[in-house]
This record gives sequence, structure tokens and C-alpha cells, in this order.
Amino acid sequence: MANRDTASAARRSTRFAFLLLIAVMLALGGAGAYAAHRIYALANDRYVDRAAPIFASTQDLLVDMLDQETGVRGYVISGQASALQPYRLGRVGVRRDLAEIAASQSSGPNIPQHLAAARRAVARLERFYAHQIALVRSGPAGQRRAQDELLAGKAQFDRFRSVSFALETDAGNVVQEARHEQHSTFVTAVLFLAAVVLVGLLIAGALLVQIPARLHRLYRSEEEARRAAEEGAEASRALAHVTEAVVLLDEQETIRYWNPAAVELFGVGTGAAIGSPLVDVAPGAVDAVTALAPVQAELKGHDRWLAATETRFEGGRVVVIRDLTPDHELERMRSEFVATAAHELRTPLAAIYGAVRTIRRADHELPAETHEEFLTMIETESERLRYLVEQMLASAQLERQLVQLSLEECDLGELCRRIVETTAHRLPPSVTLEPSLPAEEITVAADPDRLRQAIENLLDNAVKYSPDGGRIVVDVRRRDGAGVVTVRDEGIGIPADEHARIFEKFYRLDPGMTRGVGGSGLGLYIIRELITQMGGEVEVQSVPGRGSTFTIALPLR
Amino acid sequence: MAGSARAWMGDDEGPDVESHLAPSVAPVPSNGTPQAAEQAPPRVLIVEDDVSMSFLCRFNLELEGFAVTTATTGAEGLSLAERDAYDLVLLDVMLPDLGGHELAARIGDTPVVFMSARGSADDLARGRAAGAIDYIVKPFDPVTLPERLRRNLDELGRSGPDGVWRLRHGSPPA
Repeated sequence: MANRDTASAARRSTRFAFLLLIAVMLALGGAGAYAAHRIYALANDRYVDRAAPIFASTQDLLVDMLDQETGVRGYVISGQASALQPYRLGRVGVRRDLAEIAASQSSGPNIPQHLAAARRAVARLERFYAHQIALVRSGPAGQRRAQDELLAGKAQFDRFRSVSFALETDAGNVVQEARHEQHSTFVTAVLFLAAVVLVGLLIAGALLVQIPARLHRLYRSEEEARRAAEEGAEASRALAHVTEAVVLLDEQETIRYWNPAAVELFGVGTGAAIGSPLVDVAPGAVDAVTALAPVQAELKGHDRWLAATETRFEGGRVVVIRDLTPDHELERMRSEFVATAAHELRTPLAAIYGAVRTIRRADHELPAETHEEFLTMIETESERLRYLVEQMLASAQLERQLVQLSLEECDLGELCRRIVETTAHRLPPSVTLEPSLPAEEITVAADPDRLRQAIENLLDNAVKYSPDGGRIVVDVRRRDGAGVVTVRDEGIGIPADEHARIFEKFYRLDPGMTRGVGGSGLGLYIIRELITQMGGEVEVQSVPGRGSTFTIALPLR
Repeated sequence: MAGSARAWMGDDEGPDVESHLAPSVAPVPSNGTPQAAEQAPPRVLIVEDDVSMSFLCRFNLELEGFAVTTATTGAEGLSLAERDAYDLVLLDVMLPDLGGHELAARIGDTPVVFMSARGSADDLARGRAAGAIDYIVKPFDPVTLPERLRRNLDELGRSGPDGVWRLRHGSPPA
């Protein structure tokens, strides 16, 4: 989240800096254009439209006045009327020149005043010229007098010349003023442009310094975001392979994460779980995640034992839910085994103890034969005790993989013949044993002692579960490349759904042991373990009420 | 079969042994105690699949003047109980066919004493619930068994099944 904010803030400020830079460039262009235009406009207005006409007209005025003076002077000297021609042209030109100056008199502050002075000087000079012309026309005396006054005319003309000079100066002032204004416009423009350029340079410089840093920061935040996403993906992948259900809950107990083990355990898909309250998705889990101790819950129609552990963090918690049912079941079977083992050991012990107590009765002297029978009972039951203890030890060793088998060639038929012989001796009278042994040798690879133990175990089971008058068939034959021993009884049988489980350790068809015969719950486990380690297989076929058939198949040698 | 020491071994030769054992060791009923001779001997049915245990109980009970019949399966025990009347049934909780509890329920009015190698409080409670008046946990001393059964029968006459249970195991389970 922080990364995304930093990245967008960096992007925003960079964009702003670029916009500012563009604004600065536009300002530069605008200011430059404005300054150029203003300087051009000043030149056009002041030089061409105002100063130049005044200047030119003032010059013309001077020339026209000189023309008048030249004409008058020539007439005074020569007395020839034709000499007055420049005088007449000058008079006309002077009127035009003054009119032109008057049209532009607003250009400078002093011009109207100097123009008035020029008019007065012109009027005075023209009055003087008219007086001279009149003197010349009056005759030679007048001509002489006019010739004498010529110098006075020079003073008059000098005054006019100074006025005309002031007008020229005024025109020059307009030009000066325009130039000054142009200069100040230029300076202002240059200063403004310099300032704008400076700002632009500052922005550009800042960008130059900032952009790599910002790019780096952007890159780093993008990188961090990418790595966070990758870590999230890796974490998710790790959680996908955890065998416990891992559930992320927010403060409202809404599911935020739901791993595949949770899908498996609760039978609810990820899509349906995420975003929904836990109580709706897996009501069975609510007790577990509340109690944080093993609780029983119904999941998918079965009773399960669940245990949850939690890790809290700001905004929620991670709950790990374990299915304890298998452990619970194993534990139950273990404690059942202890009870069973105690029961199994007590049964022969009860006979031994009872026999000893009976022998030692003080009130009745037992005949020697009876005494002997009880001693035999003690011996047999002690043997049974020994057998049970060995079976328990064997299963413990098998479980810890401590049993060393010595495989050798052995004749299955011969082995079974001997087993049948010894079993026949201790068979209850109500049960018959029907061996079906081959004439030929069936050689298998097996540990003879352990194989004998396994087959005897099967036979003991068959005897134990046989009803009165029940037959037990022991069949040995060669089949499908294997030596096969079959032990079939007519006992109570085993329901089909228990067939796989009867080979499990401690498993009993009748865990309460309120009916059926005793047993350690180890016999079939030991048989299967031994035969499997010899490379063989054990199978059961059974119809409840009609008996069971156990088959041992061992590879032929 | 009565009094045959070899019966527990399931030996087919049993009858031979019986011939020399019965008169000398089992003086019941003709050579019984004066007390036993005066009354009809208590009739006990033992249903127990473990032949050693069955024989030990029978031997000691007969020495003390009981009339004993034995069965090794629940079905056999049930048919005997249905055919003849007994004062008491000594019943193993675990039998190869019918469960001891089920058998106790089907035997009806005859008082039942359970014996079992399983002796937890739960087992006793289940036994009482199944109607037993007493529950004997193996291993026990078979020599004192006749005395125990005789007192059970006396107590039963005085204070009923709960009385017997109270005598042996304290207050009966709720």
C-alpha cells in the first residue's frame, strides 16, 4: 500500500513540474513576442508617424524661409522683380510647413509652444520682407534704404533659426523619448525573459536532479510491489501444500484466505469460502477456532476431532485447523489395546492362580492324578501367557522394523503338514480339521519359523471362531506362480466393510469385547507384516455368518 | 463330564478320567456336608468358553455341594437355561457367539453373576445394567467362589438384587 502511494505521489509531482516547464516556455514565447511587437510599434509610431514629419517640416520651413530671404535679398540688391520668384514660392511653402507641424504638434510637450514662437518669428520676418519689398518699389532711395537695413534682417532671421532649431530639438526629443521607451521595454523584456528563463532553468534543473531519483524510487516501489506479490504467491503456494487447514479471518470472522487443505477438510471450495463468514461456510469449525482445544465436530456427515491454533495480528487472525481424528482413533485403539492386553493376560493368569489355589485347598486332599491335571493346566496356561507376551513383543518389534527375516527355501506342504499335526492335538473336540495337502513339493522363499507362526495364527483364529461342529479346511496348492495356503472356517465371518481393517494393528471387530472371543488384536497384524516382509500377500474373503477364508500367497522359488 | 479334570483340556479321553476322579474328590451330593445334605443342592449353570476357568469353577463348586452344569457357548447356555431351572447362572461376559450381556437379558428371572477379566468401573456398571447381581473380576480365588455364591443367594433372598450388589460393590450405579 505504502509503495503504491509513494509511486503515485512521485508520478503526480513529476507531471506538475513538466506542466510548469511548458507554462514557462509559453510565457517566454509570449513575452518575447510582446516585447518585439512593442519595440516595433514604438518605432513606427514615434519615428515615422510623429518625429519624422516634424523634423522634415521644420527643415522645409527653414529652407522656405531661406528661399524668401534669398528672393527678398536679390530683389533689394538688383531691383529686378523677377528676383522675387523664390520669395513667393517660400511664402507658399512656409504656410504648408507650419500646417504640417501643427498636425503633429501633440507629439511633444514643448512643440505647441515652439510652434507658436516659430509662427511669431515667421510673421515678424515676413513683415520685414514685405517692408523691404515696399521700400524697393518706392524707388532708388527706398532701394538704398532697404539695402542698408539688410543686416537688421539677419538678426530677425537668426531668431527664427533658433526657434526652428528648438522645433528640431523637439522632434529629436520625441525620437529620444521613443528610444528611451524602447530601451526600457527592451530591458523590461530582457529582465522578464531572464527571470522566466531562470525559473525554467530552475525547474529543468530540479527535474534533472529529481527525475532519476524519482525514477529510482518509482522503480524501487514497483520492485517492492512485485516482490511483495511474488512473496504472496510463494506463501500461497507453501500454504497450498500444508496438510492442515489454514484459514485467515478478519475481525468480523470473515474468511480472507482458505487453503486447499481447508477445501478438503470442510468440503467447501475457495471461491465459496472467501468473503463469507466462517460460521456460514464451516459451522463445524467455529467451536474449534473458539475453544482452541480439541473438539468434536460433524464434517461432511462424519464425526471428526478438530484442534485449532491461532496467531493473532492487527486486523484478524490466522487459524490452523488440524484433523485429529486419525490420532484420536489411534489413541483410542492404543488405550483399547491396553485394556485388551490386560484382559488377555489376566485370562490365563486367572486359570493359573485358580489352579494353584485349588491345589492348595486345605480342606480337600486331591488325588495324585487330579493334582497332575492341575499342574498341566498351570503349564498350558503359562505357555499361553508366554505366547501372548511374545505376540505383543513381536508386534512391537515389527512396528519398529526390528524383525530380521532369514529367507530360505521351504516346502510349503511339509510345513503345513507339521502345523496341522501339532494343532490337531490341541483342537477342541467340537471342531474338525480337514487338511488338503499336496503330494508334490511346493518350494517358496520364506522364513520357516515366521511362516509357521503366521499359519498357526490363522489356524488359531479359525479354531477360536469356529462354532460347535465347525470344520476347518487347510488347503495348500500351487496357483499363479505362487505357493498358496488357504485356511477356511465356518465361523461368524467378517462384514465386507471390515475386511481391510482387520489387518490393522489393535483393530477388533468388537471393540467393546462384550461378545466374541478374546484376542490381542495383534494376530492378523503380525501375519500380514510377516508375510509382506517375505514378499507375499494375505487376503480375506468372508460372508458374515458363513465363515471366513484367509489366503497366504508366497512367491515360488 | 462332571468332575472331570481333563474336561478343561477338551480331551476326548475325558470319560476315563472321570471314572476315577468323581467319587473321591466330588463327594456331592451323597457325601456332602450335613448342611448340604439336608437341603437340595443349589443349581448353578456356568457359561464360560475358557475351559480352564470353567473347570476350576465347577470343581470348586461341586466340592462345596453345588449342582453344576456347564456350557461353552452362549447358545448352549441359553438352551440349557430355557430347558432347566437354575438357582444362579455364572456367566462369562465374553462368549464366542452371544454376548454375556445379551444372554443375561434373555435368561430371564434367574439371577446372573458375571465373571470377566475386564474389571473397570464402566465394565461393572454395564454388568449391573445388564441385570447381574454380582460381578467377579478375574483372576479370583475359585476356592472362595462357592462361599461367595452361597452368600449371594442368601442376600438375594433377604434384600433382592440391589442388596447383593451393595454387599459386593457398594451402592449400585445409577
